[in-house]
Amino acid sequence: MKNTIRVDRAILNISQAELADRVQVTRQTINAIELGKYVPSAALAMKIARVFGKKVEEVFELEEGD
Amino acid sequence: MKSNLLISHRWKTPGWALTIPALLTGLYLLFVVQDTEYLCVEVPAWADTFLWIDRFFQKDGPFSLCLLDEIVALALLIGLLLLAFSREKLEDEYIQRVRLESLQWAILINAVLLMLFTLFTYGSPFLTVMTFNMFTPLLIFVGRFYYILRLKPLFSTTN
Repeated sequence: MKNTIRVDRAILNISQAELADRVQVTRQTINAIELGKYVPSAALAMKIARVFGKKVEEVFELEEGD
Repeated sequence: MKSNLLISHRWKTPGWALTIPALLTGLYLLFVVQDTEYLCVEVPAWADTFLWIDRFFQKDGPFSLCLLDEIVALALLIGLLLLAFSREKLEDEYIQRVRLESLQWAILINAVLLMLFTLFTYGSPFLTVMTFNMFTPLLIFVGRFYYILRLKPLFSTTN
């Protein structure tokens, strides 16, 4: 799964740590999601999208092979 | 996201405080001193009813039991268990996945190492292999878990 978290963070001008704090996970988790090493649960994906004021599909996108 | 078997985050510090000295002492006894006959006590012959004592060298008792290796082994096991089973400050879903993966790694690497050492070790050195094998599943688990969560992010920060 691809995501636009890095770009969305840049737009809001918040760090990984701040985003992590707002969705109540560790900074490592946000880092792993941004690097594509970890696909978050539906609940966490929705929380992240909500921080950016977007729909989940606008932040997360299926890739070939998913 | 409730994980029932985990204990409080506060146990991390006692975990490290037991593991590191016990590991160093254990390696020192095994490879440098090559002897574990320390802190020996005498127990009467009837202790044999509830202890499993080697009767080859000590036929009738009283028996001499050396406790240093027992203390080191128990301290290491307890320390590693505390490290392995204590919660992270914020135990989120990614950490739970790292936990599960590390357990799988530990079991796999342990089994592969054991197979190799079974094939390449003959006679009494196999006792050393078995001594290590008492701790390797927990050691590999703890090593891998903390490597992924604490060390690896230091090399690959994208912020």
